Parts: sequence; structure tokens; C-alpha cells
Amino acid sequence: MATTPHVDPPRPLRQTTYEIEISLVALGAITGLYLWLSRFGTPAASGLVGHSIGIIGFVLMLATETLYSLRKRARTWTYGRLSSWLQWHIVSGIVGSYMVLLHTAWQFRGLAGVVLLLTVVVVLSGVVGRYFYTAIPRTLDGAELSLADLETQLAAGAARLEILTRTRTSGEPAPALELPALATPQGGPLASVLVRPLITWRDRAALERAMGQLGSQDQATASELRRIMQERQRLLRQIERLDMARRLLALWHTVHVPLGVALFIMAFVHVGGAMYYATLLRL
Amino acid sequence: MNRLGCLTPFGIGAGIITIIGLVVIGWFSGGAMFSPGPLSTQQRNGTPLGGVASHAAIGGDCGACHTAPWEGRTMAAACLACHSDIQSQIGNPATLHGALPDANVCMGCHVEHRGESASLTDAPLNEFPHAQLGFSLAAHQFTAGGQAFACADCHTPLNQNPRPFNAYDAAAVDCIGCHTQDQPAFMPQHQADFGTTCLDCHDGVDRYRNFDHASLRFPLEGLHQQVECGMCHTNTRHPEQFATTADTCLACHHEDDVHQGSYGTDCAACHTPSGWAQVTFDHSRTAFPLTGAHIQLECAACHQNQIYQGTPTTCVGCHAEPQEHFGQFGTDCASCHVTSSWKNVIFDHTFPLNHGGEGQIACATCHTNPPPNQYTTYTCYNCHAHSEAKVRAEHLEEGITNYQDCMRCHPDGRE
Repeated sequence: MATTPHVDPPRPLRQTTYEIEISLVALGAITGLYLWLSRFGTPAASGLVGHSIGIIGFVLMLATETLYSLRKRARTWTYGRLSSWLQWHIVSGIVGSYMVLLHTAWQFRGLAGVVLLLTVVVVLSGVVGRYFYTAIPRTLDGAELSLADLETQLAAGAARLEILTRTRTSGEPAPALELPALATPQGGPLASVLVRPLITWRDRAALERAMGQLGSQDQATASELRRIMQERQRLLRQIERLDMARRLLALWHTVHVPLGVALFIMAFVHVGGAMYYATLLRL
Repeated sequence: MNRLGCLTPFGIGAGIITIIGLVVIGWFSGGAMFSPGPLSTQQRNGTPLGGVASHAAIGGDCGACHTAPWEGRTMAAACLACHSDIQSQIGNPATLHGALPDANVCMGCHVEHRGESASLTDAPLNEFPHAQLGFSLAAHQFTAGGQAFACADCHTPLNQNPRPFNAYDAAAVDCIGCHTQDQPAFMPQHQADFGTTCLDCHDGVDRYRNFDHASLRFPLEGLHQQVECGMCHTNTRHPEQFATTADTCLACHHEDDVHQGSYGTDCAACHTPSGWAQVTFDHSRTAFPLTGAHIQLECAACHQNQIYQGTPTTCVGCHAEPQEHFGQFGTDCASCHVTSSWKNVIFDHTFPLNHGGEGQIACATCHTNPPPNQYTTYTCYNCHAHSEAKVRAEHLEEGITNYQDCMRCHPDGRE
């Protein structure tokens, strides 16, 4: 029996983002600069340094709140991938809020204190939103995938898996493929979304067990099998939690948006008050 | 484009609620919600200024200090409207605020909203022209402990509550407290000598450090080195008074003058600062030069009771005729004695004692008068051929009438 050369099917390119890395580097640099500027005392919020930090931080937060939202809703202007916009949305959200924190000079009073508190709440809410957001499968451009899309991908993966398990270069008979069953978590789809890392860890263990049952494979086949089975697990889990993730994200939006609106109204009032009582004050 | 994500019903509702909340809070609390911190409760001797005892009493009336950007009035003008005493200082360069180059910008030094007990002053005073106020900080860079001087080391602490009306008044500075700790042996006497108003003399330039009295017209010598400053510089309270201190002996020692003015005022002619007893008087310039054993004598041996004028210059003024003279030699001691010693007798009997060729004759042969003039008188009569009648006749014959003093013509007893 003639063997056909093994050719990997074309795989979609994944857009890798580095929002956490960029944010950590930026936070480190800003912290270092702030400590250097604090060598003669904590920079006052109303001083040149404090004001500058506050203004830059506020502009970054404003950009966080507006640019990504505008890009998402833009129909004709589609500069850059949505995932890139999201990356910088996260970076500016983290860095901007951190700079606003430094702007306070560790004084948390009045409206400014409420603004800072709300900033922290919105940032934490953003982290939660990001968690829900990544639970929903998306295209490279960040567009949500439908259940049908997922099932199509699942079917394609299953066919590829069937072929691979039958292809044996040594001529020995192929073992029966027993795909690992996905254990439904207690709590159903809600738990599937909320404790996603734990479920992923369990699924990886189940995958290893399944790979062991397949017996010896050549390295390329084993690698491809592992990838396709992982993809299958991921798709099954996404299908399982798709509806719940969408509902949670919508719920999160319902909470996050009012918090953000309140934050920015207060922030604008705070800026106005600061300009009236300090910046524009005639000494 | 879809509508913005924030324009959800909940987002719009949150926005409306937030705005209403801010308006309500602003209505009831004034501008307090914009306050970066509580205002100071520090009072100034409890004296209300502008109708309030402290800034904290202004409360949420932000406009009391914060003028609107479109107003012509500055915030400093609002400050000075209450702090009228500072306003009056600014025109006087000899005052604290008058010496400041930018005294019209109150916030350059004074900050608020840092807490009820926080200091209202946060001034970079390193460049403050302190000398302009009459006291240089040239000698007050570091404390005795080596620490950099802070304003509060001399003046009222900035956070003292209540603060004095003029916390930086020079009269309130406690120089003595610190300097007594630093110089416990010196300061009490210095204070007793010159009083407690240090700034009358000291201007901070420290011109008295390493002061050398020897560089002046009155070097301190002898016992003067042990004298307290105030004993000469009595009631001296200003630097110029040191220069006018009298430098005559009598100015300080007129009560010590045991001569009661009888020797004039040039004490230094006889005395030195080493002590009154160390007299340098040149006795040779007097009518009685000291010679011999007289040099060794204490002044008081001749000059009792510090009386010098009128002291007798005769020997018997001090030396009574000794017993061994039996009253026979008179009072012209110097005819036989010198001042080196009584024993150094210089008497020379010019008339030959073996007169007559029969050996030394007895004194009473010639000195026939009784004491005390026994030896100052003599007679040649009554001896062998020298009867008075015969001697008279022979001398008259020769035309000599003045024949009674035989020794005048016959000093050796011969013809």
C-alpha cells in the first residue's frame, strides 16, 4: 500500500497580544520615575508632577473608554485589528488608572477620592469583563463566532482526527479511538465560565490519558493528534459555555457601563473644580 | 456607526443620577467636595481675623479665599484682606514679609488643605535675606549639635497653636536658652554684664568670635585679664558703647585710690596691672633716693598708711639713736654711717690720737662736754701748755682774734 505524504492543513494565524507585558513594563517605568521624583517628598496632586501625572492618566483613561468603543462600532473605518485595539484599550486602562492613583499623592478625600475609588472599581470590573470576553470564541478580528461556526470547526476537526488515527506508517492495525469524554462541571455552564482555568486543567489531564490509550505514534502524528484533540476539547467547552458567556458579558456590560459613565462624569467635574479652584486661580 | 456603548439606558441613567447627586452634594456642602483636605485649625493668640478664629472655621465657603478666575482680585488680596498686619509688613523691608522678594504671592510659602494640625507654612527659606532684618544667619548655619538650623530653633514652631501675633518678632527669640546650654560657664556672667537683649549688640555676623582685646587701645594685661567684662563696660548695651569706655585708671579705680588723689591720676607712673603692690615708682627721682639697705625695704616701712608725702628724710625720722651711742653722737648719722649697713662706719678721727707723743690719749681729754654733745665738741685747753689765758695772749699778740676753733688752723695739733 502506497503511503501518501503527510501535509498539515493550513492553520489560521492567531493574533498574539501583549497587553499584560506592555502594562507591566509601563507600570515599572512609571513607578521608577515616580520614586525618583518623590526623593524630596511625595509629589503633591496640585504640583507640576502631580498634575502632569493626573492629566496623562486621565487622558489615557478617556482613551480607554472611547477609542476602543468607537473602533468597535465603526462601520467604515476599520484601521487595525480589533484585538490590537483591545490590547491598547487594556494597556491604557491599566496604566491610566495607575497614574491617576499616583496623582492622588495618597490623599483620598472628597470628590477626588470618590473618583479614585470608582476608578479602581471600573478597572477591576474591566478585568472581570476581560475574563468574560475571552470566554466567547472570536475571529482573528475579534468578531464573535456563532454556535454554527463552532460546530463546523468541530466537524472538520473530527474528520481530520479520523484520518490521522487510521494512518499508520508501520502497517500495524490502528487501535480503536476513544475520545475522552468531557465532564460537565457542577454548576453547569455558569461554573464552566467562572472556573474556566480549572476545567481547562482537568481537560488537559483527560487528553493526556487519551493520548496514552492511542499507543505509539510517530512524533508528527502524535503532535497533530494532540493539537486536534485539544481543539476539539476547546470547541466543545466553548459550545458548552457560549450562551452563558454571552449572557454574563451582557450582564457585565450592564454594570460596567454605568460605572464608567459615573466615573467620567465625576472625573470631569473634578477636573473642572481643580481648574477653577487651583489651575486658573490668580495667585 | 452605532451609538456609543455608554449610551445604554443604564449608562444614561447612571449619568443622570451622578449629575443629580453631585448637584445636591454641591448645594449642601458648598465646594467642600473639591477640598483636597481639611483646613487648618491653627489660631493666632485666639484673635479672630476676618471674623473667624482659624481657617477651619471658614468651612465650605471656598470663595472666601479662592477668587474666581475671571475676577480682578487675586487670592493673595483675599489673604491680606484678613491678614492686615501682613499687608502692613510688606511695605517695610525691615520686616519678615517685607524682606521676601515675592511676598505678594502668599501661596509661595503658605499652603492649606493639609490637615487641621498641619503647618500652614512650607517655605523654602534657605535664601531668605535674614540679614536684612538686622541679624545675619552667617554664624547660625549649624546648631551646637551639628544640625542645620531650622526656623523653629529660634522662632515659634510653625505648628504651635495658637501662634503669637508676631511669631517672628526678634524680641521673642530665646538666644539665652540655647547659648546657656552651649556655654554654661560664660553665659550667666555675660548676661549679668550686658543684659538679656542680645540683639542690641549681636547681629549674627559673629564679630565677637575670637575677639582679641589686645588689638584695641587697651590691651588686657596682668590682673585685668581676670576682670569680668562688665566691671569696665558697665551698663554697656550697644556696640558703640564699648568704644567709648573710659581707659583711664581712675575711671575704674577711683574708689581704690588710697592716696585720695594726693598723687594725681597717673597711677601708671607707679603701678602696673600686675597688682597695686607691684609698684614701679622711681625713688631716685625724689629728694630721698633709695640706696643701700633702703632698697630692700617695703614701702610701708617708711610710708605708713599709704602716706608718701611729708615722710621725713632725716635718719632719726625712722632710726632712733641707738642705745650704744649713749646719746653721745648726735643725730647726724650720715657723718659716720652709710645706708648699706649700720656697721659700715665711715668716721675718720682726723686729729692724731697720739697727740703729745705719749700714746693714744683718752677721749675725755679733749671731749670734755657732757653728752649729748660730748663728741661733737672739743677743747684744747686745760692740757699742758694750753691754758686759755696763755693761748689768748699768744694769738692776740699775733693779731689773731678768732682763736677759739683750734682745729681750723691746727688740724694735726702742730704749730
